[in-house]
Amino acid sequence: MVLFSIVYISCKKDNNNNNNNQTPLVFSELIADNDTIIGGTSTYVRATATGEGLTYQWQATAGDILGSGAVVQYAAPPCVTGANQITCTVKDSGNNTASKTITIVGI
Amino acid sequence: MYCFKLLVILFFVLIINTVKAQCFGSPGNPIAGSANLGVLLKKSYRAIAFYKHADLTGYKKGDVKTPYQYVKNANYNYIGFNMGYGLSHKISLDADMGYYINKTQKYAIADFTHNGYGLSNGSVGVKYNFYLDNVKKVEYTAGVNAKFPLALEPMETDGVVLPIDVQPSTGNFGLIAQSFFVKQFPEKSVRFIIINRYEKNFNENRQGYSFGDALSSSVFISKHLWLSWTSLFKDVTAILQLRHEYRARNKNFGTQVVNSGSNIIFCSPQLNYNFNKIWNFSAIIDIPCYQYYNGLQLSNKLAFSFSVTKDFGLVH
Repeated sequence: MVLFSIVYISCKKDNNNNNNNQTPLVFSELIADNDTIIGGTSTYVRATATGEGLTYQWQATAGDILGSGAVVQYAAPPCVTGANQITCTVKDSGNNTASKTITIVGI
Repeated sequence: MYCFKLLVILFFVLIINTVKAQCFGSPGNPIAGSANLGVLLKKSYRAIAFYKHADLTGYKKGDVKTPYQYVKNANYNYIGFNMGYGLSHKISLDADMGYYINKTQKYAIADFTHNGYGLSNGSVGVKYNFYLDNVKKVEYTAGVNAKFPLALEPMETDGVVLPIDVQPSTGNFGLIAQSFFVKQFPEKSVRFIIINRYEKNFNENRQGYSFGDALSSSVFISKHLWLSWTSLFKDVTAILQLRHEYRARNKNFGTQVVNSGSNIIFCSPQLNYNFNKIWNFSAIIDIPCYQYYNGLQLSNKLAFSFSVTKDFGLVH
């Protein structure tokens, strides 16, 4: 029983050390190659983040997001003009999240 | 009268789902079809299942084709279900729902395809037979349905929230009002039918989108293909439908979407087959004869539908 307790405490302590060593999530930048695009064209949008087990979620107030992951294309159909917000939410393996939003103008 | 009710109901099943809208002319997620416009016999039930496929390709500005390319083509496959119940000889209840097997949009500006799928919208409603003259063979029925989305959260795949045009549900709550007028000419086995439907959406969905009001008016002429020299077509009815669909502009976060809304006229030939007075099978092709789009939108091509209807609790 004493031996089991010692092993259990050691393992738990190791786990705690591992969690503390996890790279923290840092979402440093969300940037588009072009801030203004003509309707019917697209531009790349790039999310730069560090952390472990990162996943990316994208949404736009109007227009289309093509692709997935850290780099996507934002496309503005002819019905989309004006300022449109593109939001990227990054999540790590510890379920920590960070979001950034940029504006791309369709003309 | 019974066969007549079945026949007319099937027309309407295949109308509703073709109300279209949007920036690329894709369907605005209409409901599966409120099939029991003519009221049902008291204490009888009716179940309808139908399938529809539609294609969209090529852009139009107004009613003029353009070489514009953004979406190369789009298509959808949709199944709908409707249940009706005759509460009394003048009142019927009905409920329906739909499911998109797919709503697909293939882009021309990039080698990429978006594909949405899932539950669409549903509705519950009541119909009332305001006028029935069995001598003059005239009937008028009207009804109202409450419409609701079967999914509120927008669909996302691979971490990307799908564009509004491929979302399976509109996310809008609303009301549908419809009327149904029938005049029979039994000596000629001919029926003349007018159906009107108005749909209003009340709220923005969770993508900030609200689909515009829709109004459709249809005129049907049907002919029972009974021939004296053969019994081959005795249970077959041919129908020709002329349908006008008007769609007001949509709104995105309260601002009108300029390239949305349309006026389309469809010519839709249809064949119905009735089996044993309780089964009905129907096939219809939607041919867009005239299309006018506000601004620049992807236009409709052919669509086709099949439906099966079964009645329960009837006394013959």
